[in-house]
Amino acid sequence: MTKTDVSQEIPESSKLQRVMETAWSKIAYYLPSFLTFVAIVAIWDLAVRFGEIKSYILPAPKDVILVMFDPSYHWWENFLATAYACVGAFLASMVFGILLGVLVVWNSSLERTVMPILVVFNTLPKVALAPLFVIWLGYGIGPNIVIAVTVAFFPVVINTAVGLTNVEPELLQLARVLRATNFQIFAKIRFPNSLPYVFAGLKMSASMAVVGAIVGEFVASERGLGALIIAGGVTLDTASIFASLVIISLLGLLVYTIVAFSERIIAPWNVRE
Amino acid sequence: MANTIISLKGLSKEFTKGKEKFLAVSNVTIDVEEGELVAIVGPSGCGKSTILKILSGLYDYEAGTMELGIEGEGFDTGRDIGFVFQQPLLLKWRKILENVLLPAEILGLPAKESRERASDLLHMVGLTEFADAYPYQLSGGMQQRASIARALIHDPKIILMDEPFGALDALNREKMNLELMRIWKESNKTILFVTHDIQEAVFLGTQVAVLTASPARMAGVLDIDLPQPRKLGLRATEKFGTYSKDIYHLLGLDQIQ
Repeated sequence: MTKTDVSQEIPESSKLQRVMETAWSKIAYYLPSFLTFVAIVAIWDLAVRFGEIKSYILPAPKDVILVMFDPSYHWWENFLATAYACVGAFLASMVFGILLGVLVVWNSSLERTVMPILVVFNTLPKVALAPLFVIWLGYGIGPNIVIAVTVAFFPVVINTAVGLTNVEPELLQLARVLRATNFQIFAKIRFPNSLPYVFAGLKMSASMAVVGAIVGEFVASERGLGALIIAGGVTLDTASIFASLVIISLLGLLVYTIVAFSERIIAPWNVRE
Repeated sequence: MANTIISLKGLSKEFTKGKEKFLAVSNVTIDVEEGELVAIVGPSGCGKSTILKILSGLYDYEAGTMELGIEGEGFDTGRDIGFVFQQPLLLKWRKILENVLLPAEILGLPAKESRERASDLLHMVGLTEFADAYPYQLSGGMQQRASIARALIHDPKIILMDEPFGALDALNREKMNLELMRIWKESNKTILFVTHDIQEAVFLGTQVAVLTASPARMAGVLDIDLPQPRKLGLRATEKFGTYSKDIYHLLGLDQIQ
């Protein structure tokens, strides 16, 4: 990598040209996925228009959009309820997952006692656990978050533990020659080493927290987008189900983007390409 | 004038693999004077890396004696040994200057002086421009130079190098050999340099210790009497050839048809 600064030799006009070029290359990069999206919506629209599909089977895209502006669904309140459960579950998974990951690596007897239980727990379909939490904790956002945490925390624990352990052994020898304390090895080597792994786990966890929040609302809530979907299913209000799905996917994207953006700031060395 | 800084007598170490015991190194005897660059050469499995790990206190030994440090000066392995491995082992998340500072931080050396020293060392290894670069922005040879600077940051008395240029291509290795010559002269350190390359050992070493595998033992020590500073042209000289031949002989390679 040479560090020669060539920008000074280039006149203003071609600088602008370069900005335009990068903008164009970005547009060209995203164009195929955008066009695919447009094509799917177009096919969907045409199928409904000319295929004589009943609107409770498949509503037209236009109807889905119209439903989103219907105030009787209280979209904003329902969105907030789901977003609150989802973000709460994600944050709890992050704190709980990282702490547990650190503890498991720190203490080998904890690893042998806690890890097997976690692994077995993870094989359970968490959706099937949801009714239990309703029995134990009742209805509302609290049990909802608990359900979402059981869905979302596992990848954080595993990735934290792997990231803390996956250090080149010679690097540890180097530290040991210098008689580094365990805490120094943790703070200066293991923990920063684990960050890319932790973020990979957090990204998984972010998507799973959305899933968990919706599952929670299916069984344990009268509010939120999950509850709207259940209501839409009962009344054959298919357009509202589609509208909820669109908003849920936007919520998932939002949480994921926030995590990916934090990674760029906290662990920039890992995001170089 | 010269002071002995490393003195090994009959040093042996066993490893146990399952129920079997085998010798990792045996009967290593060598005296290293302060400011020498001693090369340890041998095939894989001859225990040459094990010797470095015994010296740095990572491994125990079963028999023999090991004396480190100049008499009356005291020796502290933590502070007085710098280690360079085959891989640069730089921390991906630290800039080059911060990587060089790692040992100073672990040892709790004063921050300001250490930073100045780190800049000086980066200058010595020719990486001043890259102080603020991340490791991935550097080539393999440059990364290894950074790791040499890191090994020098706490001003240790002895530098242990475990095949430091083994991962580089042949041309870069030549270049790094010359660089190391210069760094060694400028820093006045005692260096133990492990390699499996006979030419490299003769070119760099003031002494060359020759180790054989199966049985793992020391076959001999050669004093290399070639003019300092060493230049690449030396390799074409008769004397250089003779030393190489002697080492081939000690390793038993000249008997293979």
